[in-house]
Amino acid sequence: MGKMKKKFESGAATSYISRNQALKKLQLTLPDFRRLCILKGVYPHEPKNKKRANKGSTANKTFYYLKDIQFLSHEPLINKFRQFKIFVRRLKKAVAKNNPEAAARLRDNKPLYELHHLVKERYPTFVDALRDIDDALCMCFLFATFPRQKRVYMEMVELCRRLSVEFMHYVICSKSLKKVFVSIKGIYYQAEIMGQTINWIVPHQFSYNPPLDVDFRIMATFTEFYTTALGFVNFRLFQLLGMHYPPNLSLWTTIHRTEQGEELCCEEEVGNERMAALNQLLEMQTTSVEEEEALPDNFPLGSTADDTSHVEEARKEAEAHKKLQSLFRGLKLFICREVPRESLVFIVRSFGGEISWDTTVCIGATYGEDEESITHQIIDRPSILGKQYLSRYYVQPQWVYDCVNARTLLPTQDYLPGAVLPPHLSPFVDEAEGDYIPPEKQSLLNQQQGVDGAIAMSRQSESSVEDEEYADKEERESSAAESSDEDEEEGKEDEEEEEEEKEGAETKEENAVVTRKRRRNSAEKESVQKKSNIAVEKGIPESKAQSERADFFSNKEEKKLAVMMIPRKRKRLYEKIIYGQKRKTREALKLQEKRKAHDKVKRKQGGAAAAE
Amino acid sequence: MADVKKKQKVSKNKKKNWRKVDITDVEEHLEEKRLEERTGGPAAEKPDKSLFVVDTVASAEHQEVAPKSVKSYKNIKLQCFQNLEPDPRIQPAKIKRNVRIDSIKKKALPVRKQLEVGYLRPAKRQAEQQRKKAKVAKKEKMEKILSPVVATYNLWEEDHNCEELDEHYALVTKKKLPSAPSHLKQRPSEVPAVEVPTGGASYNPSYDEHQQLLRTATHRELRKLKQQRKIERATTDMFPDRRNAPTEQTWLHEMSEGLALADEDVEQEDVIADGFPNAPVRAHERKVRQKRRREQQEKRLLDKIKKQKVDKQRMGEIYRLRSIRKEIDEHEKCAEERKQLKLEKLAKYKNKPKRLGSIKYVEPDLELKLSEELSESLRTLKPEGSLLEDRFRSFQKRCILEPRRRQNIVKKYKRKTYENKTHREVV
Repeated sequence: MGKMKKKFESGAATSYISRNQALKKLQLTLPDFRRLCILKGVYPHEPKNKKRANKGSTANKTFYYLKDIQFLSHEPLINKFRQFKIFVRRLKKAVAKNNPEAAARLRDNKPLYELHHLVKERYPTFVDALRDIDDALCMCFLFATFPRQKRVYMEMVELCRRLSVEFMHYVICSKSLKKVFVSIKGIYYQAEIMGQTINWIVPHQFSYNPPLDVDFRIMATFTEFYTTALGFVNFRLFQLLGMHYPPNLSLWTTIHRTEQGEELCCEEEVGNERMAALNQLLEMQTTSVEEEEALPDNFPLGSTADDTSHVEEARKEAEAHKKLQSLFRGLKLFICREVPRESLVFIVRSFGGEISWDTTVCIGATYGEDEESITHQIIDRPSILGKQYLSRYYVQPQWVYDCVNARTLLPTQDYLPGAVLPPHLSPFVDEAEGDYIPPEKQSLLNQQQGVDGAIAMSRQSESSVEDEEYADKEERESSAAESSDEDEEEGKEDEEEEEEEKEGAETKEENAVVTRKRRRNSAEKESVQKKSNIAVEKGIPESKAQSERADFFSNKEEKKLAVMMIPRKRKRLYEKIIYGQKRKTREALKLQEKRKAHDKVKRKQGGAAAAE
Repeated sequence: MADVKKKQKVSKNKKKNWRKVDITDVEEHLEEKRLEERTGGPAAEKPDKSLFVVDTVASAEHQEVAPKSVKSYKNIKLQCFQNLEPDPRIQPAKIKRNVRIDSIKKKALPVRKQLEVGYLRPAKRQAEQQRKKAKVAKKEKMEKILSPVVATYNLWEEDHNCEELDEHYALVTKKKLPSAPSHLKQRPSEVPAVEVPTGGASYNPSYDEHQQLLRTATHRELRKLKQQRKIERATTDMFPDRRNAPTEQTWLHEMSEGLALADEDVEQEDVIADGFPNAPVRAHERKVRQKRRREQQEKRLLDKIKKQKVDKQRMGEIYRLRSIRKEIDEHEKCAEERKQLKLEKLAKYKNKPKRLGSIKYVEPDLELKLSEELSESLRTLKPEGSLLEDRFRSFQKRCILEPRRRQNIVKKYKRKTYENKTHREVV
């Protein structure tokens, strides 16, 4: 007979360790343990079987892996923590005994620690670090906005500010920004660096409100680690770009001086401010940087069609990105003082534009408002104050954000000062097939695909009379649509598309159901009116997506057969999918209806206001 | 007359008492006489000239007072300034003439200067140099502490220092840390670090997206309310309020529920007699030993037959090996499927926040602006929510931090209060 097995001597009971046990094992206090865990990246785990891990008890405890804790016990940082504990004790004693000499001596020998080895340990390669940089960026950008307060060390805030400015400089130089989204929480950015998609959020200006139930000590510990990591990442990024780190400004203008020749402020501070203005180029380490056009190699691919399409897609994407990078090239912008400066400068400069502001707003302005070559002035007031220049467009700040997300320069008519702005849509939303797409986004997508770029332009000049006409028509149509079945509607939509392509004008009078078609129809109507005079018909560009869809439905029979061939085993799954899709379309239709009603009410209100 | 002493009455017939007689006046008189004799006879007998002098100078009272000049006032020495005047008793300071002045001067110099002049002795000089060095080191150290942390090298560059060392030696001397457990490299949750809100949270949202956001927020709120209502139903609603609280009467009624009262007595007994759960076994119903034995025999026989049947079946199974294999395959397939299902289920819950402590993670409220709160322009936008809290919750959601409740500092002992009697409060 073998030895009798005892309970809880193997398995889950021994592979997990509760937090209190861990504290005892490491001989640390709870705050120190927390700090160590955060710095080392050791997180608690939920055991698969709580009762077994907890030796029969079902109390909810915080569990760690025993191996993690054993690994923690080797950390040299623990020793530093202990030293610091003793240091604090001795210092307290010296201060209490009114012994300033001893206190000063102790302060001079304050134990310090570095986190370099932890960064290396947690991120063995540079790409690993980049993959996890989202958190670091968020924390740094957030801490950089903190005011002077008791709970946070000012040095940390300054360091965060410096690191975030450096990172922004990198993004500007490498032109890796891709998306921006101004939300009510803050501004979301997306950049692609070395193939990694990086998202981060920057708080709005003056938006600090201290939350009550957030442990500042914990957040400061996170920031401590992330600042170290971001410092090294910045170094490497700058190095890869051939720039000097810590960054230097390439042009250095003299400091402002009084008439007597005294410096108005400290040189270092001016340097930092200038750096934070984001408006100057940085010094390159090597004088000649080979600007390699990293075009994707054109391999003769003899393999499958799928592979080639993939490559083709990638190339297209790269081309689009290249185009996006020079979105604002050649534009000269000027921003007024009520506009969030940093965000706009960051965006405009990372897409190749030039930007400046009034000298009284911030340091680092390169030209004044009276510069004649300014193409756009960004203003966020209901009307233009002072002198108005005819040589430039006056637009609201949202124009810049929307241009980036639309990946083209949008017409400025919608964004004039005092105008009711079109909605600012999130570029982070990817609609799946059958999802509801708001009409604004649809028109934007069309524009991007080049379907009706010209139409969108003409939309701007649409008269209000026409709009009213359409409202009436829509009423009729909507009543008709309500009676029809959902499936029928779908069918109608498809038919409509095909017909539109063929005939253009006549079809739309009869069965234009969906609102998002409205804009295009109006344009087509215009073109028809012109047709009477001109013999040559204006060609309508055919969108690739639509033609593909048409192909798909022409093969409806084939599809039906394919459905019939599905084995019973998979049939259920197929039905489920179809059901889901239908539900989605139903919801989308519902939303469209709602939107239509809303638009109508709005238009009526607008009409009433105009009549008054 | 009070101060005149009363004469003491003493009998003078005894020699002893003679001393008590006061004879001072007689003696004084005699003494006076003797003085007069010594000084040239009594004054009464002397001539007037020898006794008196004719006064020829006018007295101070009768003299005419001359007016005092300003100068004279000035010359009056005040008592308080007397100290300032040179004291003739104090000797003047003696200045040594024959001393080596340079060494003194050097000693008076600050140590730094002394070092320059070369006056210091070697030991002192060395000490001074050490002090200097320490000062520089301290300054450097302080600079290091105060200066911003700047990365000065590429952290990810290959360095082979550690590899050259012996593995064991490096581990023991902590020059190399033991390799981290493999699961440390995995993310605890697949939730992204930055979750971008839906389009409805845009500062200038489209109507549909905004409505969608409001709808989700409402759904959440309703669900929360429902849950709260459920808890209330199970707790507070279970107890009566003040109006419906039990009185003595109701209590009595409840306690006597089910007790046999006078009129119900008879019926109750009937019921019990009929259907007793374990009726007593009567003598004639008891099993005989023989019966028991037979029953056992029967049972044994049945068991035997059953076993034979099973054995036979097993023997026969050798001919259906193929079908058995099939069965096993099917079983394995089933197990595999179940495993897959379980994995799928696990994957589904992978991104859900886990239970990491006594407190459950609660999804924070959605940040939104109501339709009337939406700002017209970026300038008038009032940010919603706190980003710091957002980050904190994100860490909790990603299982990096365990959810916690804010701990208030609780005093262990109650503070004692005293009243100082000398400073009693005036009532």
